[in-house]
Amino acid sequence: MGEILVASGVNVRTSVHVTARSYTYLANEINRIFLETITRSGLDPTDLTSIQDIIENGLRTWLTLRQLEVAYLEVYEPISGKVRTRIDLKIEYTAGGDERYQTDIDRVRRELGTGGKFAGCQYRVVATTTPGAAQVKGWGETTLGDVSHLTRRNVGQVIDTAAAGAVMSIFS
Amino acid sequence: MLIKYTLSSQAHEFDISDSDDLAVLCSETEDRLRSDHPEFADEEYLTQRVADALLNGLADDKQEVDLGDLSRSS
Repeated sequence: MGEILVASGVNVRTSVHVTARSYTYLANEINRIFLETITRSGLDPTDLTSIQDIIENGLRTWLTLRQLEVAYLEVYEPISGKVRTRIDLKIEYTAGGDERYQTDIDRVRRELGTGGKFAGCQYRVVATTTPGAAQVKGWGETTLGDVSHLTRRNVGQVIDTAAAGAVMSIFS
Repeated sequence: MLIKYTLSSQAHEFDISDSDDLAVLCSETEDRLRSDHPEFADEEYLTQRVADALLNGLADDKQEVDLGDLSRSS
């Protein structure tokens, strides 16, 4: 019985540590994919990098609480506000499995390569969370731009960890 | 799991469960802080601060988490 109890305790601790590493990796990789999108679209990444901490704080907090549903990168025309493209990363929370940290960045790059250039456009990061999600400094409520004039393309899972993954779709 | 922090130059610590659910650990920690320190009643970003500290500490395989100096405004 003693061995069983010890093994159980070790498993519990490993699990929560793996979950923490998984969420940390996931938040970093969401940012990486958004940065990749911005640079491949001919946009200035300064606006993203200047608020990197705020974005990461939001993603990390809501992942920790399993309140993050989707992270979006919305690219829009500055005057009209018309959305030109949008990258959606839908979070899928999982449980168990081997500790792993995988991002299919080649697939992301291939898909982004067909998205065209958006020089002169602006962009913003948006997240949808579960009702009553934690307040995070620097984040406020907003509404996503209309994408009914765009076509949605499902890319599939692009980030995979033991605790959660991200499924990508592109509106273009 | 041991939670440590500093408030008004005083060190504090308490235990929370050994749950493998980060959301539960975060909630337990925040509830205990708000219960022990009424001054956190208006701290709207306490959840963020606790979640960030837990994620950092646990990602490093630590068996205790130091929330740091909670006297500082978030």
